[in-house]
Amino acid sequence: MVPSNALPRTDLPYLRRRARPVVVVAPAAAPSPTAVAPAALAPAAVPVTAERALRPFARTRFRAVTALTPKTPTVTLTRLQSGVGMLQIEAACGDAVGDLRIGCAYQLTSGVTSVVARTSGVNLGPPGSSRPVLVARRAQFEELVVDLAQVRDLERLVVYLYSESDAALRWGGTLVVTTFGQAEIRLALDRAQSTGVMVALSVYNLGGELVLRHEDAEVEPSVRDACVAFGFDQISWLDSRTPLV
Amino acid sequence: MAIMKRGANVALTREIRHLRSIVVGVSINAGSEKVLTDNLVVATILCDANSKALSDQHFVFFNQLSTPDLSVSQLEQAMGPDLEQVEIDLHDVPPEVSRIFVVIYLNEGIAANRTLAQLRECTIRVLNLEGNAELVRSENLATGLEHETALVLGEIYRNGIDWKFKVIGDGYSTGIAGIAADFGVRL
Repeated sequence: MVPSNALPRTDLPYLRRRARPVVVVAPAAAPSPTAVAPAALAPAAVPVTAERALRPFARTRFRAVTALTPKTPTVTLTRLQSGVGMLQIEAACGDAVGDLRIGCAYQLTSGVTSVVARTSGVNLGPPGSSRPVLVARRAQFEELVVDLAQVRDLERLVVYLYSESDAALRWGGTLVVTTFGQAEIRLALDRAQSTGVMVALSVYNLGGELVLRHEDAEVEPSVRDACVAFGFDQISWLDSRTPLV
Repeated sequence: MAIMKRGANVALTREIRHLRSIVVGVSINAGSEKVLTDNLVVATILCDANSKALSDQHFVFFNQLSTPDLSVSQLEQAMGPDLEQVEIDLHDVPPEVSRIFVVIYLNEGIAANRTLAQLRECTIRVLNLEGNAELVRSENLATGLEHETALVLGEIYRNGIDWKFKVIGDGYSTGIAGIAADFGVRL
């Protein structure tokens, strides 16, 4: 079926250069012939496995609810959770909170950096894209959606919440992040009443795994200041809330 | 080149005794439906004898290009006419892996709803990695699709000491969620 003198396949340089991971097996320690006082016993060395090295943060549990708090601020999605379907970020708040709106500043691997916020008139990221990575919209609540089929294009984003009328918000409710497999990550939006912008969550793409971090930071007075405070200083602005696109 | 119909199988390593590694290529023709093409994802699931995925790390796709042992790897960019290509080192596949399924699905993201019925053509083929010669190719698996949003294209499976390839072509109207449920993948 195949000629025995067929030439080797040379058109796949990417994998040809890949090195297989070296498996290091530590030699078993020989039993000590002498007795050792218990106080002198050091804790057994824990081998650094690939699992531990690759997973420094807490994981979500399948179809479970994970709460992010100041004490447990981060969670890392698996590569499947980070790459299948879409990631939905909802501001689940009642009317008593006020005219709360959601937005996010983002940076793509292409270098594009801007803001997505429905009330700023920029509801697609990148702006005007026929295949957006990010969308701001309103369903039951104000929400952001990340298209995970394009997760490789996403570098990072921060989610912020603010009052559309610049009025003081009576903070409350929950920011809910939902994966395609219905794992939920929740963080409380509890703060004292204020007029500032709350940066609630950051999302970083670390080698294909999305790391979600509870930020819980309030920045005065504007969306622009909040974005700059989190390193988005390359965005050009029309005003304190609206990016130049 | 042999064209295989749904359900047909071929004994790869019995026919070619020196066959060590293969490339599985998936090609499609979606016409002018760019949204469809943009949202198509090819995935490879390494399963045990009960057709259940060994772990979440045994689901190979664009965001997880290799299994932990590197025996199955998806190319970051396919060569030639294929949409995606997956390399399988048959000798290095762990013994607990009995079946390797290749699937295609529409990512349920922001884009408007589409179905695989809009595909004009969808085929799976097997190449010998050494020499890049095409060994077998499936018939057009897009025919007869209606509301499906995911499709199991074929499988490479153990048969004694040999590896065989089978064309499947089973569609799922429940998309990748349906495939994940059947193959025990936790999304």
